[in-house]
Amino acid sequence: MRRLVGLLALGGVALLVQGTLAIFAPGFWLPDLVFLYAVGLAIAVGGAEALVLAAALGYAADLFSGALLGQHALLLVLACGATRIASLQLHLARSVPRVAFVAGLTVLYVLGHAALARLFVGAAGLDWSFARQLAIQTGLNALLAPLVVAGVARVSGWLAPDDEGFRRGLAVELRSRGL
Amino acid sequence: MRDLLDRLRGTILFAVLVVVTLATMVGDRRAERSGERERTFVAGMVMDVAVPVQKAMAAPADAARELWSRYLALVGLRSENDRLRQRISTLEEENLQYREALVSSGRLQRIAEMRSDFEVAMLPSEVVGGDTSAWFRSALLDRGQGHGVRSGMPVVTDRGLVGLVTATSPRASQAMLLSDRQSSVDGLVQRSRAQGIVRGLRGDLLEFEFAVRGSDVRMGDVVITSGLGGVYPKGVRIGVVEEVGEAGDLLQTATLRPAVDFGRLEGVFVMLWRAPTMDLLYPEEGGS
Repeated sequence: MRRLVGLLALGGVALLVQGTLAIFAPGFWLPDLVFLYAVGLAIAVGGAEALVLAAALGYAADLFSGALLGQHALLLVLACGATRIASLQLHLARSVPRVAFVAGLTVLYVLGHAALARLFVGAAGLDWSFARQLAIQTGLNALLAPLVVAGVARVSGWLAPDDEGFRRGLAVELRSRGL
Repeated sequence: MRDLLDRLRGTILFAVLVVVTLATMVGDRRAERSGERERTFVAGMVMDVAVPVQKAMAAPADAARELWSRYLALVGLRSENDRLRQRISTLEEENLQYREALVSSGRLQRIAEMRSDFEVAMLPSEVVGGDTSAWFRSALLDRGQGHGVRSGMPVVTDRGLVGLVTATSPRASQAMLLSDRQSSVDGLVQRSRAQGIVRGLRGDLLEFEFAVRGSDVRMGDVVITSGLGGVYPKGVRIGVVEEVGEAGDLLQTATLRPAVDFGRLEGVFVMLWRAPTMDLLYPEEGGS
């Protein structure tokens, strides 16, 4: 429970930082911290806990966004699930596969937003300038992913009720360093 | 059986969460359409708590930006420049209103009406947060229901139209910016009276779509709100035509540079006014 609350609070901080930064720079010039955090949860925490946290964080993100309530929650749950499935096939604890995976998932995540907005609200479609923006944010997300995953793993380890969580967090860190 | 359920626990939870979030989206869309989209108590509380926190988080960056612009970039000239800019904005706005009234009817009576249209209470508000997703364009404002803000109220600056309040909590509100892809405003070219729809398009630019036949739109034309559609008052500046696209069979589009710089939104004003249409859309809140 302590870990769940702690990780949720940390996700809330990520959300507030994202919202604050968005005043000073266009959204696509910023990494999507909430998305990265959800991916980090899927890799470092995993299981039902990661899914519940991703959904809760998604609902909170919806409150500070023009999205429909549930839109971020749905896409973050899907991203979390996709990361868990991918982690069974790919060695996501390593930096290179993780960066490539996060880049691909970012594209799908943003296109998911576009598709849902178009489907539910009839928002305007995509154009080429959007592709440029997407490329910028994909690059930023991919670059920052190792740092966020390592951070989530470390915090999750600190907050773990027993040594199981700590071992899991440590394992992710060690593997990412190739040890 | 128990083993199987244990093994499938993650999958079942995943499926349940997907269904619940989808259902929430459908519910929210329905609420939006029926005009009952106000934040619940818990959601409102989250927004209210976020406002002071985000203000505090933005303060150092704000201070640094202010310091840079005030003392390093334009030492001594900044205050004078600000005062003159403000004066120019006021005169421009006044001029716009006069011209708008003279063009539309040629009667001084109309000027008085126009001024009374704009003489609604304006609530100053601070933008404390941007959108958490790059895909959407919205702003979190530090004024809410407790200050008289209601969904459907226009948000402006001295430069022109910013957007529309879409959700409120007791001490905060969220405004959808004009540049959001979901935004749509009925616009009017001030010079030729050509009418069309302004939509959020790409980056911070806007798209103005108008009928080819009988419309005269040129580069540099000022586009203002038409007042049709019953959401925004007439005569608020939207932007300037930057590029006119190729004409299609029926419709033609032009790119607008918004009057407001959405990248530098700090202080805005919420017009404590709602068009009659919005009162029908949000009946439970009462009109102002």
